[in-house]
Amino acid sequence: MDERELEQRLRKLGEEWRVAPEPPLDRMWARIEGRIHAAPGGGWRWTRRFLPLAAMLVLGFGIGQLVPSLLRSPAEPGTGPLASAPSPDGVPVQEAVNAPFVGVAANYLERVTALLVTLAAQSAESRRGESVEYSTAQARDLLVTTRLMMDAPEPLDPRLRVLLEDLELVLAQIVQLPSRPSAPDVSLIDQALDQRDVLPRLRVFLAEHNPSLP
Amino acid sequence: MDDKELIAAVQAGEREAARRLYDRHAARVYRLIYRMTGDAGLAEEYTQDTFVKVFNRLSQFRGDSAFTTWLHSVAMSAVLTGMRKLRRLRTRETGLLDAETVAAATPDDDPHLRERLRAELERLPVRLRLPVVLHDVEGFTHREIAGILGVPEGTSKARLSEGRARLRVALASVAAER
Repeated sequence: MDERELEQRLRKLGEEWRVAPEPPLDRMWARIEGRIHAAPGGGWRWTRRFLPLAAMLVLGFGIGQLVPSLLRSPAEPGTGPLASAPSPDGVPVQEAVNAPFVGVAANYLERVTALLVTLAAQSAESRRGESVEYSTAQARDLLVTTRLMMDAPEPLDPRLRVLLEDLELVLAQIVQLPSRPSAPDVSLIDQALDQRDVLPRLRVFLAEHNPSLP
Repeated sequence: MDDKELIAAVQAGEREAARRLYDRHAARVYRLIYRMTGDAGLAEEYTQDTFVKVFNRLSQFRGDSAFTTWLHSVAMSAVLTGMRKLRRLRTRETGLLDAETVAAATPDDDPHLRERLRAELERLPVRLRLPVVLHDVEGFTHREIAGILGVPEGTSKARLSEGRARLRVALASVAAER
């Protein structure tokens, strides 16, 4: 095989060797933005105008008991790594195996709820012209937990995964809040969350997993 | 708006310009990384790494080279760093890479020349495979490859030549059988 033939074959190989699928541009962009915002001192300048907070007051109710079902894909009831099988001591094996993860997830959702409730209250104060201070330390901590959950080996409900991705972006933006945001910043809070429909989706999701919720 | 104007706009804090710059180049970066890794998940991850680094370091881009050259050099760096980590992890955990290498080295597994070429290309050492893929498969010039890999043009040419030579030797027996 001479040089020219090899060259031709390599070029032809390029048409079928490791041909990439359609790149998920929007998804990658969302992640890129989230990471840039989360970096210390990072973020575009415009992001400082967006304060994505909202009144997610109802979400604290009953979160702990919802978490196991949130972690299991509805398409695979009773199967997969989270399916339960009784152990000799009567404790479902997978429940025991995943208990630490479920605990972390429950704790995470409770803390996210608490943070957003607090921030929502502070936003209302700010709208009334009162000066408020934000602490971003907790949001930063929750952001790390969000990413750990997204990377966890346990299977997640696909919609929960998408929700976590959006929460990641919301938290990443909260991290960027100045300690004393101006009133115009606060007026954009609802707008930023509305864009992602986080609250309605959370409500629908939680209602589907626990019909006893209001 | 050309790249230079978009970069200036991004540096001025315009988010829309950042998105336009990303839209203009992301697909090619993704395809190139996929070509290097053969894995959609890794291509996605390394493409994100690339753009995060690029946007974070945009102020360091002096414009001495084309933006695309700089962008692709960051992408290659992300790929090589990521693959090194992956290789260490896999080697430590399962010895998977060794198993793959042995399998690919068995001639009977790839009776056809095309399949054999593919296998031999993947077996080339990275320092030789990169110039071959970038030049012969992706169509980059030696000047661009030199910028991307951070080596002199002569080195790019020499490595391409060595890579091709190894491929020809490896394929000689298959070609003779045809």
